[in-house]
Amino acid sequence: MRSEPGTRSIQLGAILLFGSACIVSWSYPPKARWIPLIIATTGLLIALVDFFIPVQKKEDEKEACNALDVSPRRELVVWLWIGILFLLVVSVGLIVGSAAFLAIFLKFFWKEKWTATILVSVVTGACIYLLFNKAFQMQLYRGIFFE
Amino acid sequence: MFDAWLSGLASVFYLDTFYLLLIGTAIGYMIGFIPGLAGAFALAMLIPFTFSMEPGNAVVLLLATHAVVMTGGSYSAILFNAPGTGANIPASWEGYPLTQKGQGGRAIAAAATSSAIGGAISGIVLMGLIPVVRMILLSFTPPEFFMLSILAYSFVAGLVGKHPFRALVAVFAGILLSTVGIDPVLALPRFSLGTFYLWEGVKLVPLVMGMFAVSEMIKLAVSGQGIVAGSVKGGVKIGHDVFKGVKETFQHWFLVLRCSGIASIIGIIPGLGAELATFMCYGHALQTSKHPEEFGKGSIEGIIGAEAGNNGKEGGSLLTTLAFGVPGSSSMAILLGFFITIGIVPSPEMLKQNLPLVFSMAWVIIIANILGAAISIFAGRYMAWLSAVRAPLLVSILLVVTVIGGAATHNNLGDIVTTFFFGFVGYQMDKYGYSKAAFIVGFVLGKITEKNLLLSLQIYQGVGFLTRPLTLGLAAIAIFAFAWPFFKRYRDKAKMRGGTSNEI
Repeated sequence: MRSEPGTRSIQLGAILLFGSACIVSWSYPPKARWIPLIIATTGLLIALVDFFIPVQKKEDEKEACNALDVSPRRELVVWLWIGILFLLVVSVGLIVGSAAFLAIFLKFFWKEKWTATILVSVVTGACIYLLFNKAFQMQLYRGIFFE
Repeated sequence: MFDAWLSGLASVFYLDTFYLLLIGTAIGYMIGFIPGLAGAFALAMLIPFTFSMEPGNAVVLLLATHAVVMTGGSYSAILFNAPGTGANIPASWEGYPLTQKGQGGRAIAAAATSSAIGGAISGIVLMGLIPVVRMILLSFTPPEFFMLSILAYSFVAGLVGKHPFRALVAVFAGILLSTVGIDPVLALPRFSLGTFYLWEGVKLVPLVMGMFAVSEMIKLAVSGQGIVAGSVKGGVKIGHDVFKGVKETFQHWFLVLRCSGIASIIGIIPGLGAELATFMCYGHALQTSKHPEEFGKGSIEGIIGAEAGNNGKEGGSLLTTLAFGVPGSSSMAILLGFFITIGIVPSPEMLKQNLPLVFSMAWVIIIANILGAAISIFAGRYMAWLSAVRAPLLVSILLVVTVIGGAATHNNLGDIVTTFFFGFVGYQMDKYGYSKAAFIVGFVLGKITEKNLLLSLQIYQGVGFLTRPLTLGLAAIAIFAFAWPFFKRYRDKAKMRGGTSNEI
């Protein structure tokens, strides 16, 4: 019975994860490796069974895969935005990066008005700064450019 | 003893003490509500403010704050699927689906009420167990800790669902991930990918924030909907079912009592952590429920059991800290340091000589929990509305807040990468039917299991530790707990077949 390509990728990913953990475990001394090795080997066997057993009902398979029934294009767009958030946070830090992300995300992804966009990003950024930096005296990550 | 009990109670109600109790409760709530911040942070932040206070008052402020942090944490878990700590994870499994149905108020109220009762019971347990705490503590050694962790896995059997192999893959992946970091025997780094960051292992907070909160916000952004779907908003008066949640908690009073008891005992045993207590209580609720099919889809019993458990642990934890100077958690370690600084030296004698102080601590836990529940029940109705905010605002703001929550505790690049990475993993697991619950159980319990298995093997020079009576007893309960859901499923199927053939 045919499986969804995405499910196959995840199953292969699991096999790869446990398989590589088995291989890496062998590089450790016996006392350090035996527990990860047992876990990885058992996990590998289960992942192989999961990969090779025929799917009983196609509906079951579809149900699992389509729990998030969305267009792949929109999904890709959201992942691109998550990538932008990551780059912003890593480069200019959590406070500035978050505020900047909010401004462009609200404007260009959600198509909000400029006034709402600017208001939300400034207020959220200010609240985060006041709460963490001032009230809690925590220095949030400042990004690779400012660290 | 009664005099000490009474003077402990009276000392809490002095005006200058009581207002600190109120302030502590409010601060604990607020910090708990912010995803990623937890009890240890709250205590570390407050301690500098207590240096100018009278020691007794400082203890009240810190304990009241600590007592309700978990309750505050359950709100962000229920409303936004953003559990701030491992102990709030079951609240998000069961509470968030209820929020999506427009029943966030009901879930918050049930969580608050069960937390309050759990906390109050733990305070009573703290008072009641003072004479026998030494005996309980000494009867638990690494073999029993190991077997308790095995027992806690048993509830995974109830989460298996339609894809047993995928659940098993998830649980083993979680356990494997828990082995990342310094090996407990030879102190060698394992699976650290050549980075120092992974020497300490994968940190729980960024993992949980990524896997649950970030992945959920990504899901909402992809679907373009808010937490409470538009179709639900029209039909449900959000926040109007708060008292239903309170009522349901009292209807399940025996479950609350059992879970608080289990958690109090686990709390006494150092090193097992709030997560194990919560997972065990959640598992217990699942296995004894008449409606196990509702678990994972918004079971009120799941919330009640888990929340009674995570607050119920505190009394026991404090007792061990006070009596033996052995802190059961990072928060208790901070408290212990503070106690020593202000001249309260933990020892078994302290339970005799400073009994009024110990009782006043127990009363603070009880009263802070009750006050906290009262605030939540009042505010829950309005807080539930947060889940109904328009999708663009809610998703965007929560996305950045959860990323900050994941990274805030240690403030390093590694935590940020971990949060994003597990956001991706969590999204894919949801998409392809791999249980995130099973994964997180494997991860949280993996470390406890490995450490105690290795210790047991070293102490007993082999598997002889399995013949200890208490270990054997716990093993028997674990086997029963693993087998029970399968047996119940088989029995229900047989009943259904019988019913069908009778009809024919």
